Amino acid sequence: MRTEDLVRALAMDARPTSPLRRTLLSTAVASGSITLLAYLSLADVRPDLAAALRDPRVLFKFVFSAAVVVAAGIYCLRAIRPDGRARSLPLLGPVLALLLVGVGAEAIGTPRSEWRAAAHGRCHAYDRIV
Amino acid sequence: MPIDEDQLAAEMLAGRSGNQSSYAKALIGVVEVARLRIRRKFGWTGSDLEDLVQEVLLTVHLNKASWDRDRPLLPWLHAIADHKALDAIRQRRRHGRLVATGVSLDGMEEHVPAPEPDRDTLGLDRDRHLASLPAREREVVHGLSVQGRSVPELAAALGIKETAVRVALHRGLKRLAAAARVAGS
Repeated sequence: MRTEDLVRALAMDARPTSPLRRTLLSTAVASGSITLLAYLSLADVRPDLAAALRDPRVLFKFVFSAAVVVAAGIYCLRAIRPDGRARSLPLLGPVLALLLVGVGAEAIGTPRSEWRAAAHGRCHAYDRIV
Repeated sequence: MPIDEDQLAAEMLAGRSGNQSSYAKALIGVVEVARLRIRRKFGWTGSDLEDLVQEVLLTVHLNKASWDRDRPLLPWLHAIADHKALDAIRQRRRHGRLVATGVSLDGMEEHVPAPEPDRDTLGLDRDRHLASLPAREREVVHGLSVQGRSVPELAAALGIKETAVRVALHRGLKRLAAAARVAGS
């Protein structure tokens, strides 16, 4: 098959194509919205969420999740391009730094004797067993 | 003739929105860019070069959505051409064809070019892959490419609808690209 023949056949297969980036972003927005709706309607949202968010430790959980989402999103947008350099370290670095800062702040604010308990966390089921 | 990147990008954009004649021009530009890139960077010539160029063409066609219009087109094209060339080099290495001559990935430009072959031997890989398609897809791809027929003409000849021809064409091209990938892995 000559290359010109292939070009002719390919040209006949021209069809409206939406850019991959747009497809990815609109899918992300749609799936994010569905997840949010499902969360609000199916899960028990703590009633004092607004007040709790003033606690930097609670707020940090959301900030950290958001940072992971942003880093992963940027990575995805780069990885879908053949000419994109999808290196993970420059993107993961800030996220890991944020995690270290959070853990560090928590450690400083906790007496050394309670580090083990703090790292383990508390859950009611566990308390009942012990 | 130097490639006008802006013009090529404009044609590609029009082609991506479904304009056939712009798309045909864009693909001719893609062929030029890919040929130049693979010949200069990897030293391929003759039928090997043409087979690779055709693979690049198919890949570009099926992945044109991955080009971001806010970014320059040529780096995107070069990246695809390079990936295909490197895949092909690895494949040949595995087959041991280049091992004996001591050609490495880095030294491809020193690879002694093969003599220019007859035009008849160009695109042999595609013909081999074409033969492996299901009958309907093979008839359609062959009819629209090698025989140079039009969609309505071919639809009448095969006694099917034009939309069926287009569907078979799209599927056939996808299968051709997949066949090239399998052969290369």
